[in-house]
Amino acid sequence: MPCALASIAWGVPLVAQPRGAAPVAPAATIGPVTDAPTLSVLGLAGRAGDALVQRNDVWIGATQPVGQLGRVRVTAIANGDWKVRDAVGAEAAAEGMVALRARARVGQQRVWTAVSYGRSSFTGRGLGGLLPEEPLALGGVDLRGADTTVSRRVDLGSTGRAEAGVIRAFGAVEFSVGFSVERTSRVTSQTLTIDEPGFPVPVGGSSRLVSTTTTRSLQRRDLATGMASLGFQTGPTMWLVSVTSPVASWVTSDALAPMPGVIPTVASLAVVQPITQWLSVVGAAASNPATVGGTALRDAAQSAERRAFSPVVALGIRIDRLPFRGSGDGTPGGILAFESRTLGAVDSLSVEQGMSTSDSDTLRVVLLVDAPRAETVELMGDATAWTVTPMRRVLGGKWRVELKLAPGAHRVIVRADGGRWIAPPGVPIGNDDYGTPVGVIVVKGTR
Amino acid sequence: MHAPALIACLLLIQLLVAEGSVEPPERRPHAQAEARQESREPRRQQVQFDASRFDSLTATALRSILDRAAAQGLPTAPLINRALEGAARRASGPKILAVVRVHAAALAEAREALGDRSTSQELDAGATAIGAGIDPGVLAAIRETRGPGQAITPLVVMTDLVRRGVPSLTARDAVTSIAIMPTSDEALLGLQLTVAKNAQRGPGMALDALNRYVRLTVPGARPPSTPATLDRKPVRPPPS
Repeated sequence: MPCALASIAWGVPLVAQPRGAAPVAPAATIGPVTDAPTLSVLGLAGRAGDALVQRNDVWIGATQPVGQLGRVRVTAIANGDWKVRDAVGAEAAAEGMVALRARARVGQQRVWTAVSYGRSSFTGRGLGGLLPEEPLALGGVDLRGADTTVSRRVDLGSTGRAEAGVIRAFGAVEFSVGFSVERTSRVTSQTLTIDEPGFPVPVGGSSRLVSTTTTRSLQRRDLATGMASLGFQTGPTMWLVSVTSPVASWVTSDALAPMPGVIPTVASLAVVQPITQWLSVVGAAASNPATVGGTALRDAAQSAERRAFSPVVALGIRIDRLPFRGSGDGTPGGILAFESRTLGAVDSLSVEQGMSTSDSDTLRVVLLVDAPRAETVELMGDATAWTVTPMRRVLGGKWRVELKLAPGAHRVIVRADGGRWIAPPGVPIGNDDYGTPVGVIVVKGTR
Repeated sequence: MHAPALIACLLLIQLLVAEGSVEPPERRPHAQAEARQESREPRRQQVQFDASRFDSLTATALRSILDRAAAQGLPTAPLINRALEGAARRASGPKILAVVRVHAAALAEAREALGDRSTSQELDAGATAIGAGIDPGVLAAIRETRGPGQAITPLVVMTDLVRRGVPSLTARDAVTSIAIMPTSDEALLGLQLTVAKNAQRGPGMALDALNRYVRLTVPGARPPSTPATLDRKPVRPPPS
């Protein structure tokens, strides 16, 4: 499932960044999971305790086809997440990532690969107070007044990532598995303000000692992740289910740095419901928010995301055809539009009429669709009782299916890569009762 | 008569009566109409009405439409195909019913224009042409050029030309002028392909291509309309 794959693959970078959880569907899957020009904007909410609360996250993703080199198609992907600061001293974070993804067919196998690079920054209070909330008395003095706080913390992180996988279709469901390796680093600057009573402790006095110290630490994590995903369509609604799981990780960190959290296995579900031809509503949920927003390496000390199951949901929109896109072949993101696919156009259909079959009333007719850029081509029509029939790739970028047809006119439509059903170019146009016209192929009798 | 023989006769009579009281599916009106249609043309692939492709209300309504069409002697295969197309495209039940009803009415019109001896495929092609806005009189003109069972290609090409922007009467003249030629199906499909290619180049190009094709294909034929670009001399601007 290319789409799943893509989503996962793409999402992983994010996953890796916020150490502590795998890719979140909203961020990971929704936006960049298509090669068609899209723009997605999502708002996120996550569970804190038992309540679903606003995370103040805005996630934006965009994809744009770059071009094609032989059979390799390249797409540029960019996404970003901005965690809005909601109060003084509260956390704020921003991160962005760009990637180039290439997809190709090797024999009968579809493969993909991607390289990506991202930067992130985090500003906030970071570690909380170190003293317990209960009164802690020493010599009659409440030592909670002698608190040590991190008054300011700034993280700057970067992530580099390489990934690859294979895509395979089983009926209407596309399945994809992949693997990624990445290196994430983070430089943490903490300004510590130490405010403590003077010693010996004055009775009723005001002698205090205040000092400020800035420390800087570096952490680095190398991570290998496996990913699997599947995508399918129910009516116009597209679904994507993905799972990512860390395979191995190596963390390098100096003593002053907070320990990065552990990325759990994360399952995510994304749904895209088209509203108009270009606008879709996107909903997504993931079992852990670790990959949405935040720092490049999330701290283990941060509570909620530490749990393996800490659901997050997202809701937003996706614009399928950016205004600046030259509409091209007009084949939209179709059945699995999450996926990193640039839909192949069907260039023409030709009919090779064969000999009569044994019952002499039907003819063996070979339909050849010229669609060299497509990865799958399907056909349906009167001859198939309007059920989807996959075509087989043959040499020269053509797709072939053999049907037994009686002499006469037969209506047929085709689609490439799960896109919109169209009348095969070149053949006569028939009715258009359901919005788009059908093509008509005429089979001549043998007499 | 001996008792066993009497009982056997009674059982046989009861069986015959029971068989007659339950109408098997193949004796439904639309199945009978299909059988009648098949007797007029070579045996074609059967089109089964698969009710499971529709919700129960739509399936019931479709059966009713099919039975009514069959009672009128109309072929039901094109109607079933239209319904299946709607189901495959995930159209709503009311939309499917509307499309099938309109097509059934068009089939009746097409039969009136093309004649009772027309094959179901001809009627389907004629109904599609009517659905594209072609006047039934044009169908009758095409019928005059081709005998029963031979008008499918002209009708299909005619519909395509009109859908690509060629005026109906111009398309009629072009199609009928080619259709009377021997082995003209290939010529008609060539006309369709030429117009289809040129229609993408801009307004008027389809018509222009049609005129050129007819002039080159039909010996001594007058183009159905004045060419848009050929044989047109540049106009000198009036002296100022």
